[in-house]
Amino acid sequence: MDKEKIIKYIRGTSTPAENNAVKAWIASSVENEKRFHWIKAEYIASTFDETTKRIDLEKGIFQYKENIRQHIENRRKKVKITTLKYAAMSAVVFGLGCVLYLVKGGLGSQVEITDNAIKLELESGNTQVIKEDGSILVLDSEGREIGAQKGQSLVYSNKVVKEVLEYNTLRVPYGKRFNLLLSDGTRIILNAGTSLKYPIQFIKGSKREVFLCGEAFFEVAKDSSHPFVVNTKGLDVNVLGTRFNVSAYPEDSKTSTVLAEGSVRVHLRGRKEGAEKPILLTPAHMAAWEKSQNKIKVDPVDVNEHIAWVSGRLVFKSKPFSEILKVLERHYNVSIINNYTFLNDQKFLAKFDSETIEEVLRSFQTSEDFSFEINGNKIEINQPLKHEPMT
Amino acid sequence: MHSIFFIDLLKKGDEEAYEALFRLYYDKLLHISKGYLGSMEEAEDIVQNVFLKVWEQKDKLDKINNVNNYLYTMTKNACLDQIKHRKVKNLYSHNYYQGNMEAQCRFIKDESASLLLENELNKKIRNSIELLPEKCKNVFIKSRVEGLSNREVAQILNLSKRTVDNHIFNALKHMKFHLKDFLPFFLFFSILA
Repeated sequence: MDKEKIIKYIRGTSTPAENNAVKAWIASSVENEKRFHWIKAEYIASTFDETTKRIDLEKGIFQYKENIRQHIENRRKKVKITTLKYAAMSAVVFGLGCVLYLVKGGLGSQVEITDNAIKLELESGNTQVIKEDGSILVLDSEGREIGAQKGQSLVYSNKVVKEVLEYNTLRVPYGKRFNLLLSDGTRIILNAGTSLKYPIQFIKGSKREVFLCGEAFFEVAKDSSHPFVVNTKGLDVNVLGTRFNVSAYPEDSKTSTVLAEGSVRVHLRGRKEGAEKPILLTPAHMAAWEKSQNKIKVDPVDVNEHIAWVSGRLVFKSKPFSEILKVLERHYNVSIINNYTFLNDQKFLAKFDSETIEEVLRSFQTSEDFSFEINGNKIEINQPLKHEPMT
Repeated sequence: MHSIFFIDLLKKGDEEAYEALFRLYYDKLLHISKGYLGSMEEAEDIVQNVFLKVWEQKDKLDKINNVNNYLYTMTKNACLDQIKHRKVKNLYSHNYYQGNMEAQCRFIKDESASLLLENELNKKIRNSIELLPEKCKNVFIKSRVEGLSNREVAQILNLSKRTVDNHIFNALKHMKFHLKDFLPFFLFFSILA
């Protein structure tokens, strides 16, 4: 068979009839299949540049670092050797800083893995700890002041004019929230367990681009000549000036954005802009990307349910218990094991503001019987103790 | 003299070493996975998982004598797993995919095609090291500097900062030359401490 035809088949540019001809040729002998494999390998080997040009390496690196961080976080929960006396936790926990150590298997060396502080990672790779009652200054790589902490917010100024993009990454641990004011006036509230990478100053003439892992609420400053883009693992959200929420926790089954005001364009990540029609979202609608199906679904929603966390409240409207638990874990910085799997698909309607996690679980008990045990930061949910099987 | 090589930095969990590794291999492994799976979206997840696994299994790096082969083999296996996983999912709905999937698996398992891709990958990596941003290239210098004997390190520390800077500058300037010489040691683990 003609090599050109085989390459056309590999490229996916041949007609169905041509496809069948190549397939039949491959299937007709072992030698043919071998030859096909060789041509395909040669083809892949000669087209490396196509992928290199197409991908966003910085995004990949951001994702990789987040994956590692997430992995450490999960391991920390499993091998926790610090027991925190469970205290009443309100929606926002102040000054809860515990440094955790993990004994590295075999080597016996102690490695500091993580602590429970809000952290700012600078372009240089250095990390600054942000205390909720502190006040830090943020310097750029040339040592100029470009931002400062004001109470529960980190505020960037645009007094210093920069010509090259320089990034900071703000990481908020479980159990905390933090605010951010970018140099263009965009206000962002970061929910528990969230990282956001953003330019310390936006460059004139280029898109305003940030990278999100977790959940954040955005109030984007209007500037139609500089589109604002939120990059997440699944969805990219393009904005002109509007208020909306983006939830992109790696442990959740979906990435979603809920629009409160204005309009945003949503498209699947990895696709070149324009390759697939982006979806234009209108207020009070949610665009969700189901990881397992890799497509975007749009539904009308109650905006309050999705942005209640901004004011420290939790609102669940007909949400499955398994999803509620993930929210509780992040909000209260606890790890919950549910052994009573029957509950997972049960849907609940509930609102909380300043309740403790114990009170929250008790209120769920009133509608569905189960038992739970709180041990430091660990919570175990089991089948009700007195439950008798029906005869 | 005790030597530290790139792979030792990986074993130590050095963040910059992992970034350098990612910058070197990400697009290339992505390309191969896309070739195997036919889907960019799936390939991205697969390759991210491969890199996470490398990080998770740092301790295993001891037993590895060729980073290139290690990464390529992991990627290949991850793609095979992915196709099998798809198979399970589709068993109930789209039986007709199966033939295609078996063909994909046979291609991944074809030894001469694999060897061709692995060699090409190796060639591409050699070229890309020179294109790394300076911060990442420094990893290779770092692995050399950390490998110096105490006497040599003390010597360097006694020098003025400018001299040390010059030292680094010269090392970078000669990177092209150095890398050609040292690459086999960086990528093919062959050291006994």
